Amino acid sequence: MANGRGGSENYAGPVKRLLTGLVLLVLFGLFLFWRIDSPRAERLRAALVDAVVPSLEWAMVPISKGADMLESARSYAQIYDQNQELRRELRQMRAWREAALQLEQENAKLLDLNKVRLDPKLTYVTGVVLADAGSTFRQSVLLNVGARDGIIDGWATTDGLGLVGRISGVGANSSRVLLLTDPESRVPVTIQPSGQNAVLTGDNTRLPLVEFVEVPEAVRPGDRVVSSGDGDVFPAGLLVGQVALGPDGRQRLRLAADYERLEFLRVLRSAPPEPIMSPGELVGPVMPEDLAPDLAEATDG
Amino acid sequence: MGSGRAFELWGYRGLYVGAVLLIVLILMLPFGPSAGRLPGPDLILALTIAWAMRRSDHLPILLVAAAMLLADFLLMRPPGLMAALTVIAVEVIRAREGQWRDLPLVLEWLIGAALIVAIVAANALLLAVFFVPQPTLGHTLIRLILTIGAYPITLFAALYIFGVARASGREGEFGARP
Repeated sequence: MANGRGGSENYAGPVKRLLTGLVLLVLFGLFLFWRIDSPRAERLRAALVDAVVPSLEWAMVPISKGADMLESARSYAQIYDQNQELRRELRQMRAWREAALQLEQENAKLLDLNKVRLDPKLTYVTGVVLADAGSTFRQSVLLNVGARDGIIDGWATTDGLGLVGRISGVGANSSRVLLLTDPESRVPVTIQPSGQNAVLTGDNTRLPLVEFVEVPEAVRPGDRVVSSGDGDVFPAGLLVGQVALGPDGRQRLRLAADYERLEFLRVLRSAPPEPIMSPGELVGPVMPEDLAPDLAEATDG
Repeated sequence: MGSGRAFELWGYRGLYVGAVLLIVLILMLPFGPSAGRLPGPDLILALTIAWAMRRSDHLPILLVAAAMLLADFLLMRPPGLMAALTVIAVEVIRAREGQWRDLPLVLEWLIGAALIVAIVAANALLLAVFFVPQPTLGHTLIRLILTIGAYPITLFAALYIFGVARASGREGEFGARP
């Protein structure tokens, strides 16, 4: 555009001032637009990131691979200790594996007796982490799967073990995962043995806060925390982590997902549960079909 | 002669955009979580101010606006705000180019620091006015101090890595304002 003319002296004073004013107007206007209609502006951002980042992958891959190699070279120094530690852990794992196998058999038997059908809808798409937010104040990562792979905003993301975050912003070939540590992340969770509901609030530290617990005395460090499925944010029962006491004395969460190594993430395909539209029907003897065929259907199901 | 100079000028402009892109790229590399770590300096801001103090003719307004807007979008910042504030700072520098060109380093650093403080303060103020959630005051201050500390480093990078020279040290074509 007009800047093809080179040095600033070439502009006449008023034209230059007009241009400056115009640029500032556009930029502040964009900020206002983002503030007023955030979803639309974020879609714009997702589209831009989608256009820029995957095309720069060739430049990013060598740098990050090199840094990874440096990191692993450093870890060679402690390889003996690591080996010993792994052996110890392996022994423990064997014991746990036995326990898990026994429990699995028992569980299978019980499920069979109860005729329980597990939710078949939880299939997943696996994506590779391309980039992160690039700022110390925002916590998110960019995956290389997007709308093309059927990703939808709001789906849960795990690293195979624990919850990592939720999809927030989808481009054609990329999608952004808002991590649980981001200051804007809020996830309804259940604390396991006591069954209390809480909200997991990110605050830009490694350990997000566990807030709005009804009886904080009943919650102890080490309690398991799973997603509660409230508000249809996530499917219920995904492992999130363990309660820990933060250095500030507040209840926080040690995440089960390995945030140090986010490389491959699973995006769980989940359909929202069917809404309950009507109040419950009376459970009684089966109605004759000619009277109310639709009611009979409802009580059967 | 004119075309050769234009070529050189556009080379520097390209270099600036390339440097901004490189910083964004390095920041975006997935090196584990940044949560709980201390914030680093805002190298893009420091570089832009340092470069503009030396050669504002390398940074036409549309180029600065576009580069900063791209950084805003890619680094998950509120789009447009930092870009607008940086554009204002660059325009302020441009308007006083004649007076600020041959200052000693310490004085130049002070002026650059004042501009950076003004940008960060205006940014925080506007975010507060529009009720946008912000990082804590402590983190913002640490980042501000580190950015001011990074100013001479980015200045030397601009001078010796990118080869930006003072206008008065060359033919002085862009010097001597009416």
